[in-house]
Amino acid sequence: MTIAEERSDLSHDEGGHEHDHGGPRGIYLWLTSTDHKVIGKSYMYTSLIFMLIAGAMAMIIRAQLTGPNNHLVSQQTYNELFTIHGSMMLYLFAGPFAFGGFANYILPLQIGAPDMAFPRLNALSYWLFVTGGITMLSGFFTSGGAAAFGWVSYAPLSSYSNSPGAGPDLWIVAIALTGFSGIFTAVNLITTAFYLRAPGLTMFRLPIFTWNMIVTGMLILIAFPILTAAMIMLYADRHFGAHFFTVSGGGSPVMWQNLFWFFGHPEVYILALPYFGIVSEVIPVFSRKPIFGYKGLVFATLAIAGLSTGVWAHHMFTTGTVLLPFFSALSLLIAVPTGVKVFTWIATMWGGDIEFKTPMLFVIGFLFTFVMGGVTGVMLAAPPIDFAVHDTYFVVAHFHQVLAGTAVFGGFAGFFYWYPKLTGRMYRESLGKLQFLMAFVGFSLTFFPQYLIGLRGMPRRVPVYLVSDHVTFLNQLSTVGAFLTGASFVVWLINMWISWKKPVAAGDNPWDGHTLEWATSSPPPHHNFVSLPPIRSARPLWDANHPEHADYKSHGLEVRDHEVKK
Amino acid sequence: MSIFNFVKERHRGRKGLALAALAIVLSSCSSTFGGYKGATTQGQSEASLYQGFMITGIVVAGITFLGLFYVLVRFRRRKGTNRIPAQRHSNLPVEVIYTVIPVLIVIGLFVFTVRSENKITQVSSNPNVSVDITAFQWGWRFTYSNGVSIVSQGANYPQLVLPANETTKVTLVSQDVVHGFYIPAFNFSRYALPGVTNYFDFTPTNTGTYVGRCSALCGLYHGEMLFSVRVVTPTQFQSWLTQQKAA
Amino acid sequence: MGYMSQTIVSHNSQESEPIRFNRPSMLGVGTMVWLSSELMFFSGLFAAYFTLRSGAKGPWPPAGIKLDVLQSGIFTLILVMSSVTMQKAVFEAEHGRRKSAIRWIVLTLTMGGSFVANQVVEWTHVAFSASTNAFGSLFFIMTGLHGLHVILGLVGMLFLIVRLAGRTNDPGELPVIQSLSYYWHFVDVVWIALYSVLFLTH
Ligand code: HEA
Ligand code: HEA
Ligand code: CUA
Ligand SMILES: [Cu+2]
Repeated sequence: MTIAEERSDLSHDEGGHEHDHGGPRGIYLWLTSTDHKVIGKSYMYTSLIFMLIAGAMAMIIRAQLTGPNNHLVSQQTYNELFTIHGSMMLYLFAGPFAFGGFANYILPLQIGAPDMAFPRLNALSYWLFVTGGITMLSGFFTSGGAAAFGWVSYAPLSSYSNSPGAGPDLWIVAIALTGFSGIFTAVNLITTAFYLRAPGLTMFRLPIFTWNMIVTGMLILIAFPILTAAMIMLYADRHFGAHFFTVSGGGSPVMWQNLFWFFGHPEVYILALPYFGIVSEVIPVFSRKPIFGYKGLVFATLAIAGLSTGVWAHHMFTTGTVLLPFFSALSLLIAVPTGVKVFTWIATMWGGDIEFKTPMLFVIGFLFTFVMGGVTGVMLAAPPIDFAVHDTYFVVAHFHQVLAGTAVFGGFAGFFYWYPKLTGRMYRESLGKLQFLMAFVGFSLTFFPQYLIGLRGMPRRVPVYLVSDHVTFLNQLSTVGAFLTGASFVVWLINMWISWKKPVAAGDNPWDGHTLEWATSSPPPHHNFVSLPPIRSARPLWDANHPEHADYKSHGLEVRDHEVKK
Repeated sequence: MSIFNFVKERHRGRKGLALAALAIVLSSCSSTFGGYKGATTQGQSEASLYQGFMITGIVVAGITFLGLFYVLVRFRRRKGTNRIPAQRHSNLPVEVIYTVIPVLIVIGLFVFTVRSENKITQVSSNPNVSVDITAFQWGWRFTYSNGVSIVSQGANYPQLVLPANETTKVTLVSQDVVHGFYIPAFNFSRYALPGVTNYFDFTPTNTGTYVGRCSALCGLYHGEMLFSVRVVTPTQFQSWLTQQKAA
Repeated sequence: MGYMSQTIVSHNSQESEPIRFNRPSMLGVGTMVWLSSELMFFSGLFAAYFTLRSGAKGPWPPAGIKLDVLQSGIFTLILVMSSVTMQKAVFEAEHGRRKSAIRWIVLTLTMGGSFVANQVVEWTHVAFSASTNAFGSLFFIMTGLHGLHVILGLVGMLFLIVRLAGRTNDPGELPVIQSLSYYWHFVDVVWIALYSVLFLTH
């Protein structure tokens, strides 16, 4: 019995291939579709637009900081800019790009499913996300301006008396909406991964990308509800006179920080794990090897998720209210599973046949940038060092390197890798490489100087600094880097434009992919698969295309390897 | 013969590399890697911890990047080849090694962290001087135990005066929102929280004037919530204090 | 439905053989996954409760806070019993006895409705408000958000009744009623915890 036979009844009642041509098109398709591929693409494009908008805000921030006493924007506007820049990048770009975009599009394909478990819920998630994004941006058009209390919204700065107006309320609502969107997507993805796997695809044959999405989903289910609860309390404080965070009524401002970071730290891994998943797909394909230490990688992912729920107070070392050794120890420990991942990736490339296509270049950019940011993260995990640089540009540099390393470099690695899958077209390789080069140089130039700026004592979230701080030149370097990065995205837009106007067909499987998403046409038909290859390992398509090197033939490979060596 | 030469070359190359690495490590021991040396005993303890972390970081990242670089160069696809490499799935000893070594490094880092942290957070029971510091939007009030009080006024940044080589105990509170009491040259910051009182000690070692600032976003003028710190000799400090009392 | 969704062993409405799935329905799995996030949501509220309680300066609950423990206790019992009636409805539906299932759901609905009614009465009668102090804030937020969940469940039951009364050969019906029962049990258990910390601490 082949799977193709098993599936054949499906194409009858669902209309299979033909569905594609009779269905809605254009705007109407975008508005009404419940197809995971349409929703996935919508997520990607929408979040990338949010990224450009938030990036444009970063350009203004950097322009303001080119001199110690610039007056490009007012203090109030500056505070609004970094608040919305940070909030958009995290909630509306980094998260939805991967978890709403890639996961939605790729995960069902990778497990051989026709769609997500709950297609209509999926559409609801997307529309909640879009509504949330528009809500957040609309804060700029209120009379009081957008929220200006940082993406962390510390109480009591976020109280009504300290931050009056509708902008902060819109921000709260926006976060709640995107939060629900994320929770629903998590429910959907986890159910899909548990329930709709093709026959033969056991948990330990799932692609690492899918694994990472499952674990990310679990982290979302753990972290986001706490944020929702905190937002409701904040809203009650602002409008119903509640006393959750006011000292006078028996509330506790520090409780906000605890609740927020209990969400906030898992959140940063919610943003990182999906991109780790992408990297774990790109490296094997462009090295023509299986991922090294599959199980180790899965357990490392689970370990990161587990640890990340117990380290939140490393953002609160300087509050003097937390148990320093405990949170320090757990934070330091996260370096171990993360290191396992990094070494696993290098070991995967070891002995491979590495091809430096654009996705692979972005992966290398990811590895370099992320490890740099990770190592400085380890420094921040030592409370004494954190006392010295907390809330300075040292921290800003740390988190941009990890975030940009994952969401931008990891994200664009995935984007270029799956671009042929999504569109059936090829991007222009030379422009892709140029974009990488500019982004890589630009990012490094932006954020390496910021470590020094922070060490010299420049706090974050300030529009002005002192000449005597000796950070003017470093800030200028950083600004130049930022604009170079900005220009790299223009190159990307040009690339997309050319590929759209002068399409070059990519073929169904241009990279000699390993996993099931490449086993169907590019782009895939409405219900994804006409037939599936037999699934006997974690790389069914590789097995089918390279029967002489098939994974299932080398079961118990470790043992055999030793025998060969003797 | 030529092969022999080559091997020798390589050995010399390695030795050179090792020497260079040693030189970097040794010279780093005196470098502060961009951080402040720390103008208090507590700050100096931080500086040496930071140094240790930095050296560890350089070594760890260095090895990782060397490995990465080696792999990328050695195993790049050569033009015109189409090779299917050996399909290795795992290697338990290697995996154990790259898990255990980071664990050991982390344990080491943790031990030094705790030691330094205990020194820095220790609060003396009989300090030479006590100051109550209150943060508010957007300024500071420094109150000494004899009642002398210095407070931000308009665009005038207040100055905190401390005696050198004596221990000052600070009691920190906030009047409104969260502020951050931060003296970069002391390598130290602590939040001023509404509803929470924080205590910590400074033992300045060098006289001089330093910048202090608010590190936690506290609203519109957060960026201008500055102060300065002047460390003077104990006798100068006493005369300053009595002078202020009289004024 | 997708090609891998549950296989129904038999679906005969006169038959008394229970209709079961060879594994939990997809909707059931999805519901359980979602309920785990709901659990975290209420955990957040409980975390706030215990934080504020441990930081309280005076007695807990603060002086002047009076709640009718007995009356709420009775309605707690009613809510807990409604879990039993809900489960009975599921059994009836699984045996294809749809009329009976509807009757049990109506009973559940009434019990849940009386719980909400009591809460409304309580809200209007207590002598404190959300802005009195932290306990007041916690009381209203926690009971309010829980009450919202109860109401959501009641609305779900209304839809379920309509569905059970409609088309006889409805394969999606059983997963829906099972999923709603998971949700209902969850809401009940959360209430027991809420009742203990808000009412029984006097
Ligand atoms: C993708 C997001 C992401 C990721 C992955 C990380 C990863 C880490 N972060 Fe980061 N962090 C943020 C995003 C992220 N962070 C953000 C957004 C903030 C600021 C929030 C705000 O205030 O606005 C922040 C702030 C932040 C702080 C608080 C700083 C402060 O406000 O004062 C701390 C403190 O401990 C910290 C620590 C760490 C650690 C230990 C890791 C570790 O997980 C890193 C592990 C990785 C490595 C170590 C590299 C690879 C490993 C090896 C090569 C193995 C060998 C290594 C060793 C043995 C050392 N981070
Ligand atoms: C994924 C997360 C992410 C990413 C990718 C970035 C990207 C960038 N960030 Fe951001 N940043 C954050 C997350 C991120 N940031 C967070 C969480 C904060 C903290 C907020 C807070 O304090 O509360 C922060 C804060 C922050 C600060 C500190 C502000 C302060 O504390 O005062 C600075 C300053 O330099 C900065 C700079 C930049 C720059 C130059 C980029 C560049 O890499 C951006 C690259 C540029 C582009 C992507 C734009 C390209 C634009 C065009 C091509 C124009 C076309 C435009 C349209 C079509 C509209 N960021
Ligand atoms: Cu006070 Cu910033
Ligand atoms: Cu963190």
